[in-house]
Amino acid sequence: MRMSNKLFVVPVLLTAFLSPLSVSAQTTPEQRGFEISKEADRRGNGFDDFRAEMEMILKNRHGDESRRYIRVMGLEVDGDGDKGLSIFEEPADVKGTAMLTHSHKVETDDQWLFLPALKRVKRIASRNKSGPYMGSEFAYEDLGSQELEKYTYSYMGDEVYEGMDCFVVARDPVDKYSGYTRQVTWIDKAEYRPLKTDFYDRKNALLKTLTFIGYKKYLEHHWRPDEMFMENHQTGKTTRIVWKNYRFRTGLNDSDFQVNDLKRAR
Amino acid sequence: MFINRSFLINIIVVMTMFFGVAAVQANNKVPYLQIGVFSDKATAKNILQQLESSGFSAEQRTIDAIGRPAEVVLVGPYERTSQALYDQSRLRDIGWSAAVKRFPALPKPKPSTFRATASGSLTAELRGFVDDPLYPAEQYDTFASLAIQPEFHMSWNDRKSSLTFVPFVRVGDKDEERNHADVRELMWLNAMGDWELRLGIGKVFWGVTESLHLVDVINQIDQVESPDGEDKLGQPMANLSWFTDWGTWDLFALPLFRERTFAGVKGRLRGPLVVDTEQDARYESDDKDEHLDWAIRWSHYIGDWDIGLSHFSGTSRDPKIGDDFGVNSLGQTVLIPRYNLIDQTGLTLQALLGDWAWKLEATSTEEMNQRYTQAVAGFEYTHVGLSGSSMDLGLLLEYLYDDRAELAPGPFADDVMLGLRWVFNDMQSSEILMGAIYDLEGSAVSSSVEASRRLGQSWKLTLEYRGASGLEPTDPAYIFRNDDYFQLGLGYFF
Repeated sequence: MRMSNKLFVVPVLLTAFLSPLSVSAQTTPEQRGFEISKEADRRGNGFDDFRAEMEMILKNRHGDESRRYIRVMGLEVDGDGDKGLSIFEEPADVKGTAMLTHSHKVETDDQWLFLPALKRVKRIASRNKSGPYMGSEFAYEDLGSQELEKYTYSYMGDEVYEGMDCFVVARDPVDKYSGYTRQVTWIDKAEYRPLKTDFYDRKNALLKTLTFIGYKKYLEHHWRPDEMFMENHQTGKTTRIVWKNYRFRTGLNDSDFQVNDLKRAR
Repeated sequence: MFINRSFLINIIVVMTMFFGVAAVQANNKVPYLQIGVFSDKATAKNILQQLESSGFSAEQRTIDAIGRPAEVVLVGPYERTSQALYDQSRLRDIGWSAAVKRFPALPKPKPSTFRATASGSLTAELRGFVDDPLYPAEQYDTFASLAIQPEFHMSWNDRKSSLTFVPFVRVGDKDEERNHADVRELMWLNAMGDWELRLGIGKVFWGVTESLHLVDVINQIDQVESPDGEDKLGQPMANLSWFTDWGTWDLFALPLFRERTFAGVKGRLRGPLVVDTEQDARYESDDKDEHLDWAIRWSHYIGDWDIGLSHFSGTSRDPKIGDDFGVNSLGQTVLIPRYNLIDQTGLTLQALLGDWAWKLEATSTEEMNQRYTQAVAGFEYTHVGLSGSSMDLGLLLEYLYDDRAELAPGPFADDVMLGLRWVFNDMQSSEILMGAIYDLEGSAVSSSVEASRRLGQSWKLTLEYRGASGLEPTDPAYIFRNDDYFQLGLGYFF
């Protein structure tokens, strides 16, 4: 008990004295929002590569359910956006469909789809980022690589959320093709994990709320949520993502994310 | 003195052994997580079992602890310390504390990466023709059938090698020619670094446009399945792929030719004479259907642009119909398809510029000492989020060209395709694709609607319409003037 108290005090003091966050008197809300997001981004990075399985449970207003099961792989790329490969397992009619994304920091991402029935590799316009992912309440841009450069930031204050001290940071997408004008995220001060995000649509009305549930620590310092729950306030539809089998540093490399690999990704 | 000397020798021997062994072991010591050291074998065994039931790979070893044998329980081994640290935190989550220590690795069989899956679909289909048949003595108005297409797949060697088997069978149709079976795929794949070798039967897709796929010359069309030409027969092949920084190279050797399928006597979508595929087809090559065809393709993408350049040398997949006749077993006159040798160079281009996808497919073919050019060029514009909803609307426009004009064997020589793709982006993945191809030099319009929607988790409903109007007697499609049809499909996917 003593030990853990001590350990806790040290980083807090360090933060207070060394971190640029403390000089809030001189920093603008924009700078502070950026610094917080940068730190959250830094803490989220460094996993090299990961594999996981994603179960999506879609529900409409009447309670009708639909399930998706997707295997995902990701690779961190130095100096550019991450690379991602998703392979659909369910529903069975799209089994074997694979999607490859090479995301970029500022330019539009490159995206390819492999359609197994036709054996067709189809390059797709990733500008359709505001569209729903597999008919869910998650848009492509919600699940894509969250590059710092894709938003402008603004620190909005501190709040307690679910008993945790949080920064409240707004970020506005730079890309005019985004489906949002603003995203407001509650980030806990202790670990810089996003706990909740409110999404505002192009008319600046509250559209969706995403909650991150059941954070677990991987590789000593990487926090990942067990579940992500998205609720659409305008349609009453919800999507729950349950993450399974998170594995990091599995030895994936650039050659596993080539367009040519799509044909045998399954 | 004597005692001292033997003592010294002993020390030297022991030290040599110690460092010698240590040196050997340092080379193959790997990170483990040490859970604890126990004097009691049963306790250690118990802990080992608990760890294994929590999903960890655990080992129990007997070591020498200060002159006594003791049991050490380890989790691992790991290739990297970082991986051990990751499992250390996982263990901590469930209440185990462990220290990272290096131990000599035991020779362990590599975990098998063998994976086998079975999936597939079973589809009931109902086809109803709008107009009365032209040959009412033989043909029907409605057709019902069942198609099954299972898929068996196994992979090993970390998915670098795989074997896929996809048979296809249609049964129950009134047209005996539609009741057919095919091996859509029976392919052995082996990937080695930048190289991939495929041996067996398979399908290859190169095209980019929607109305017509000119460049796809590898596979024969399974025309009894659908007149749209998108259903293909499995093609026997050896395919070597080479991936470089300046594009992908594909080399194909195609040893056996597949004949196109045609509707039978009782079937619709045929002319006054049936194309007989029971008898041997006519070939330009003396090797007939055993002529060895070759194809090579280079493809690359540069920024928003995709380019593909291909060349095919061998027996054309497009038959010449109407030059050769025969007599079938019933004594009826039938058409015999003729397949000529061709040399065809193909080009595909696609540029994704924002909401616009610009597409081009072109081929230049030499057949019977004559050269002709075909091309399809156009765009698809996608309007994302139709009036604030999550629906997407795509607008397609393509121009179809054949420099043989009226002499072109196909119906499209100077035509424009207008299409609409309506993607609902809903839970059921509902989609509607409508298209109409207008003949710019005549009055012919051929149109199609394809709609699909998932039902529940495993079912899919499809609705299709194909029809033509304004066909002139000189149009190659004139024989299908009474064959507009609706098709309903209900598929179960597993």
